Amino acid sequence: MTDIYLERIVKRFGPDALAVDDFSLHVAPGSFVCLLGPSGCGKTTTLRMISGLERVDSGVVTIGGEVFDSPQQNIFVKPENRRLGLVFQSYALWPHMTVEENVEFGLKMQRVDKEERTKIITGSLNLLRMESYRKRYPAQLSGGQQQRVALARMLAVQPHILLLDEPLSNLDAALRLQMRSELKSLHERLGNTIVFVTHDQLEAMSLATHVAVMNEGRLEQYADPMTIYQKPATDFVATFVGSPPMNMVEFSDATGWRGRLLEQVAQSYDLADRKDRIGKIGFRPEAVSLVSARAEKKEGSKEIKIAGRVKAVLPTGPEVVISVVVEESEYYVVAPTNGGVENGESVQLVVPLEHIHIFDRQGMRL
Amino acid sequence: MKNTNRKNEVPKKRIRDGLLLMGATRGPFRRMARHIKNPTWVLGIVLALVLTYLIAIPVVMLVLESIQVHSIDAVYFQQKTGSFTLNYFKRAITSKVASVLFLQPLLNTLLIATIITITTTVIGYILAWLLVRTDLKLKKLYSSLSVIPFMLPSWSYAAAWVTLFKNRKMAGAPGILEVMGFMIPDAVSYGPLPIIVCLTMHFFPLAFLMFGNAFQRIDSQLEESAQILGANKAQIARYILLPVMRPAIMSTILLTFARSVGTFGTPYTLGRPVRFNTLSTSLYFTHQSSEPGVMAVIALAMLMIGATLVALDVYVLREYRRFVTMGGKGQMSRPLVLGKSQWMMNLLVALFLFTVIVVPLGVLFLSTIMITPGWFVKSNFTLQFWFAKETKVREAVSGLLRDPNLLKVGWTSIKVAGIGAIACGFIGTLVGYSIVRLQQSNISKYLKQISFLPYLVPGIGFGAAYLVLFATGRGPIPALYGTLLLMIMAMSVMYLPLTTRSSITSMAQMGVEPEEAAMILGAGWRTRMTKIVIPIQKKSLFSGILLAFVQGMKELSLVIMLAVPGLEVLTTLSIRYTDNALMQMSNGVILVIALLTFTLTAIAQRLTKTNFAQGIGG
Amino acid sequence: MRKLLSMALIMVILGAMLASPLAAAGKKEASPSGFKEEVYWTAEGYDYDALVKAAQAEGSLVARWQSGRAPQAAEVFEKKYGIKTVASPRFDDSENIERLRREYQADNVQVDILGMDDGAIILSEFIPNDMVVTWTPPDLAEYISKAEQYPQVVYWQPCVLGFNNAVYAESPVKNLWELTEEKWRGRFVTCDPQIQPYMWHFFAAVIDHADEFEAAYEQLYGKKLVTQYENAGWDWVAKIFANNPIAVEHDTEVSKAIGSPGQTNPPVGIHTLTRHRDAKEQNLNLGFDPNIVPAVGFALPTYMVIPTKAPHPNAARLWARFLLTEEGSFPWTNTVGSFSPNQQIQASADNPYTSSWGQWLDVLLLFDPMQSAAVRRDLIDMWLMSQKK
Repeated sequence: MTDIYLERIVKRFGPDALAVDDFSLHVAPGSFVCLLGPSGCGKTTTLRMISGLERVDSGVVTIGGEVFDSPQQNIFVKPENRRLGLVFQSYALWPHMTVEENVEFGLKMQRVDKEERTKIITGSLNLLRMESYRKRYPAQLSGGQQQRVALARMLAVQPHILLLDEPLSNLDAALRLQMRSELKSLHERLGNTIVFVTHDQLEAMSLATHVAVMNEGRLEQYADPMTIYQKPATDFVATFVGSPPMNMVEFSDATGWRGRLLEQVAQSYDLADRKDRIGKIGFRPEAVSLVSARAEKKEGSKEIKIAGRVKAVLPTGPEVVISVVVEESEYYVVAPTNGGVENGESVQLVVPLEHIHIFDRQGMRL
Repeated sequence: MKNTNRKNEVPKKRIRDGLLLMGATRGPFRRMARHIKNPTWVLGIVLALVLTYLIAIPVVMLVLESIQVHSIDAVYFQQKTGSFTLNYFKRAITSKVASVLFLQPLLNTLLIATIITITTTVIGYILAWLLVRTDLKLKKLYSSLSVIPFMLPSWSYAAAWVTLFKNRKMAGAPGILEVMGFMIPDAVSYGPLPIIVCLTMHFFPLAFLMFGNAFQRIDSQLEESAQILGANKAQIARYILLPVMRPAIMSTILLTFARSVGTFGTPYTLGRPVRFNTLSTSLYFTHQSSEPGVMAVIALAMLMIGATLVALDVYVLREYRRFVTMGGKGQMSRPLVLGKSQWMMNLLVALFLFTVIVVPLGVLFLSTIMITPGWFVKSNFTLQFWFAKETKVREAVSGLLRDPNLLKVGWTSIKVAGIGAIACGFIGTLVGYSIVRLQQSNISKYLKQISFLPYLVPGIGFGAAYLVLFATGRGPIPALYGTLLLMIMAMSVMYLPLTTRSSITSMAQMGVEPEEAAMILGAGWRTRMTKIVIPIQKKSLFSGILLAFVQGMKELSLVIMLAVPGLEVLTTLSIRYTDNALMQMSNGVILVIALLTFTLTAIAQRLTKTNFAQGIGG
Repeated sequence: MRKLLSMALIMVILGAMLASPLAAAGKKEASPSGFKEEVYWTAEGYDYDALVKAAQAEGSLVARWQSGRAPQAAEVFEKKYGIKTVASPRFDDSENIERLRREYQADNVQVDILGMDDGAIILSEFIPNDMVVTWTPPDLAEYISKAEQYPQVVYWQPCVLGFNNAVYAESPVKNLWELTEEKWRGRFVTCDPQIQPYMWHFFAAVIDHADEFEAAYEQLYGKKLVTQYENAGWDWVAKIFANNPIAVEHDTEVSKAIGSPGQTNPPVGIHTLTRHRDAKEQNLNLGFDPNIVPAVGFALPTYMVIPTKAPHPNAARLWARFLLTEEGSFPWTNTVGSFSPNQQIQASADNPYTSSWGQWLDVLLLFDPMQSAAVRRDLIDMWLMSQKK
C-alpha cells in the first residue's frame, strides 16, 4: 500500500510552454485515480513525472513517504529505481522478444531466480488470459492482446503503484469495455494504487475511485466520480464531464429573458446582493423537462422556464436527445422518450431550481 | 480549486522568479555538471569529443595545409616552413596556370556531377518504380542484381571501358574493338562522355535503392484515392507520387552529387588521356608533382562543395518533416498491373542489367585471359595471368592466384573492411542514439553535422591527415601509424555518415517508449542499451554494417596513404598493378574484389536475415 | 545557430588541445636528428663483419622500392644473412616521398631504406633536412665513380627514343629537333611527367645540355637558333610541349603505342630500355638509334637512401651493400635494361646496342638532380600551360 504526494509541481518545456502549473495531488493508498482532461492538459506529463521519466522543475514528488524528486533538495530517484509499473499508450512491447521474454525482463532486472520467474510469468499471463501466447512475438498479436501483454509485463513485477497512460485508447469499442471491467476487477483483486490517464470521461467515471480533472496544466477538481458529476467545482469541469455536456446560460448580457432568469435565480438562492458576481448558470440535459409552449403559463417558484424551438430530435436507443434553440444558443435535453415533440415546435425548458449550478464570473462554483 | 490558485498567486510568482533565476545562472557548465550523471549525455559528450578528434581536426589540418608554407616550398618562397601564405590560393585561382590546375577542373567537376546526378536519378527512379510499384515478373531477381554495380570498385567500369573502347590515337595499346577493326572516335574512347556513362552505371544502384525504399513506404491508398477521384496514371505520377517522393529525390540528388565530386578512379582513367581533369584528378596530380599546398586548396574546394550540399540537405530534411507522418499503420501496397507491356518492360530491364553487369564483368574477365585484349586468335589466349609461376609478359610477376601475397592481402582487406564496418555500425548506432535522444540540444546538432562531414572530405586528404595525426603518440593515444587498427579506424570513421543516417531513421521510428518501459522495470542504462536498444536496432545495425563493408572492400583513396608494407589491401594491390601497366592483373584483382564482396555479403545477409540495401536512405 | 557555432568552437578547441603535440612534432622537422655514425660504417673504420653482426642483431629490415624486382633480391638476402626482409615493391616516388615526410613530421619512421628515382628531392629536401643519409660501402667505393656516389646510385636505366622497326628500317628521327616539327605533331609518346616525375629529369637534362641542342639545331636547319627562351634547351622543351605530345601513364604504354604490330604510321616515344625485354613476348617491334643527335635519351638512376631515424640502420647498410654486389644486383643486371654503378658487375649480354655502361653514357644525356629540382617548377607550369585547350 503506497500513496503518492505531488506538491506544487511545476514543469515547463521551454520558456513559453508551461505543461504543469503548481499542481498538487494526494493519491491515497489502494485508490484508483484517473487524471482526466482534454489532450495537452498536462496529464501525461504528470504521469511521467510520477514515474520519473520526466523531472519536475520545482515541487516535490513523494511516494510511499519517501521523497523521489525534489530539485530544491537536490533529490532525484531514477525511474529504474522507483519500482513502479507503467503501461504506455502504444504498449511499447519489445519487438525482438517473445511475450514470455517481455514479461520476464522486469523480473530479471530484479534478479528473481529462474524457477520463481517461470511461476510469476505463468501467473500473470494466466491472470490476463494470455498463457497460450507466451511464445509469440508482439507482431503476431492483436491490439487487445498486445495491451494485455503490456499490462502483464508491468504486473509481473508486482508494483505497488501502477501507472497507465491511455492504455485503452487504441482498442475498439467492444474490447475497450471488456478491458475496462478487467482493469477494475484486477484493481479490486490486487489492491494496488493505480493512476490512470485518459481523455475519455466515461472511462474515468466508470473506473476510478477518484478523478482529477485537469485543464491547461492545472487541477480543476479532485473528487470521487459522483461528486465530480453532481457538484462540478468549475464551469470547465461541468462542461467537460457529461455527454451531452451541461447546458450553460451566460449572463454577460443580462437583458430580456436572461435578465429575468438571473433575477429569479439570485432571489431564490438568496444572492440578490451579489447578483453581479453570477457569471453563468448550468443545468444537466437530463434535469430538463420539456413542456409545450401552449401549455398553461404557471409562475412556479420552484423551477425556471426558458422558451425555445426544437431544432432536432436525436434518438440514441435507450433515450432521446432533443436539441432546442433559444435565440442564438443551443440547449440539449435528454429524456426517455421524445414526449410527442416534433421538429420546429415551440417548447419551454423547465428546470427545477435544485438542479441548477451557479458559477461566478471566474467560473467557480457558488 | 481555483480559489486555491488565486490565493497562491504570490508564491507562484516567487516560483516564477526562481525559474528566472535558474535561467540566469544556466551556463553551459552548470548544465553539463547536471548532465554528467545522465549516461546519455555522457555518451553524447564523449562521442562529440571523439568525433571532433577524428573528423574535425583532420579537416582543420587540411585548412592549415592550404595557408601554411610547406617545407618543400620554404626556399622558393623565401619564407619559413609553417608561416602564413596565400601563394597556394593565388596559384590555384589567379595564376596563369590556374585554369589548368583548378578552374577548368572545377567546371568539369560540376558539369559531370550535374549530368551524372540527372541520369542516375532518372534511371534509378524508373527502375525503382518498375521493381517496386508494378507487377513486373522476376522483379526479385532484378532487384538483387541491381545492387551488384554498387559492389564493384568504382574504377572497374572505367577499366572495362578502356579495355573495350580504347583507341590507339591517344595512347598505348588499342582496345578490343579497335583490334577487331572498328574505328573508335576520341569522344567515345575518352573524356566526359565515357566518364558520365561509367559513373552512371556505377552510381545508379544508390538511387535505385533509395527510391525503392521510399516507394515501399508509400501507402498505395494514396494512389488509389487519386484514382477514385478521377486521376489517370500520368496525373497520379505527376501530382501524387512525385511530390511524395520529393524528399527521397532530393537526398538522392545530394548523395549522388557528393559522390560524383569525390570520385577519382574513373575520371583518372578516362579523362587523363585527353586532359579532361576534374578536381579529384587535379588533386592527385598536384599530389604527384609535390604541390601539397595547392592540393589542400583543391581539397578545400571539394569540401566547400560538400558543405553547400549539407546546407541543402539540412533544408531538405526540414522540408521532409512535412511528409513524415505519412505511412504508418495499415499501409498497403498493391502493384500496378503492367499488362501488355509486361514483356517489353522485362526485356528492357533485363537488357539494361545485362549491359551494366554482364558486359563489363565479362570484358574484365576476357581481358585477364588474353595477352593482347581483343586479338581473338588461339595463341593470344592464356591463363598465365591467373596461374603462371612467372608471367611471360613481365619479369618477376607471378600469376594472380600464385601470388602468395594475394591471400594475405585479401585477408587484410576483409579484416579492415569487416572490423571497420562493424565498428562503424556500432558507433553509428550510438551516434544516432545520441542525436535522437538529445534532440534539441547543441550536442545533438553538432553530432549530426560532424558525422556527415567524412562524406565530403576527399579520402586521400583524410588519409594524409590521419597519417600525421596518428603517426606519433599523443597523450593517452598511442602511435597507430602502420597498424591495422588505424586503417580500421579510418575506415569506420569514413563510413560513419552511412550508418549514422540509417540509425537516426530507425531510432526515430522506434521512439522512446520501449526504452522507457525497460527503465520503469528497473533496467539501468547499460542494460537498456544492450538488451533493448541494440536488439531492436539489430536490423538497421546489420544492414548498416553490410553497407559499410561493401564500401570498405572497394575503398581506395583513403587506404592508399595508410597501407604500409605488409598491410596492403586488394584495392591498393590492383592500383599498383595499374601503375605498372599490368592491366590484366589489375582487372583480375577487381574480379577478386567483386567475387569476395558478393560471397561475403550473400553469406552475411543469409545469416543475419538482413539486406544491406535497407541501410541506404533515410 | 549561434549556439551551434559556439559549441563547435568549444569542440574544436578541446580537440586542438588534444592534438597540440602536433605542432610540436611539426617543429621538430628542422632540428638536427641527432644522427650518429657507427665507426664500422666509415671508410676509415670499415668492418664488414661488425656490420653483419649488428644487422643480424637487428633481425629485420623494411625497404620501400620503386621496382617490382626488389622481393627477389630480398629473398636471397634473407636466406644469406637470416634477416627478415620486407621489400615492398612498386612504390612510386610520390608515395615514397610523401610517406617519409609524414613519418618524419610525426617522428615515427617505419622504413630502413628507400629505393627511389627523385634525386632532386633527396638533395634539396631530404639530405639538407637531415632526413636521410646516402651511404657508399667503403669496400666497394673504388669501383664506383664519385659522381654516382652522391646520392648513391643502386642501378641505372637508359631511357631511349624508340621507333617501330617493322615499319621503319631505320630511325625516322635523326635529330631530336625533328620532333618539334609538324610531322610529329601528336606522334611523340611520353610518360606523363605528372604521373612519372622521373620524366622531368629528361626535360631538365635537355635544358642543362642547351649547348648541344643549339649545335644540333644548327646542324639540322643550317642556321642559328633565335629563341625567346633562356636557352636552346628551353626552346626545345617549349616546342615539344606545344607539339601535342601523347602523355601516358607508364612506359609500357609507350612501348605498346610505338611497337604494336599492324600499324602504318606508328608514333615514336621515349621509354626505358627494359621494355626491350618484353618486346618479344608481346609481339612488339621496338628499335632505337643510338646515334640520334644530340642524344638518344637520358640515363635514369635509381638512388638508395637511408633515413637517419631508420629503425634498423645496420641492416639497411648491409642491404645497400648487397645490392651493389653481383649476387644482390642480379634481379636487375641479369635482365635487359639495367646497369650497376659497380663497374665489376657485368650487365646482361642480351642488352641491345651494348652491355657496357661506359658506352651507354656516351649516347645518353646525364642530368644534375639539383638543376632538375631548380627548373622543376617552371617545367610544371610550362607543361600545365601546354594543356590549356
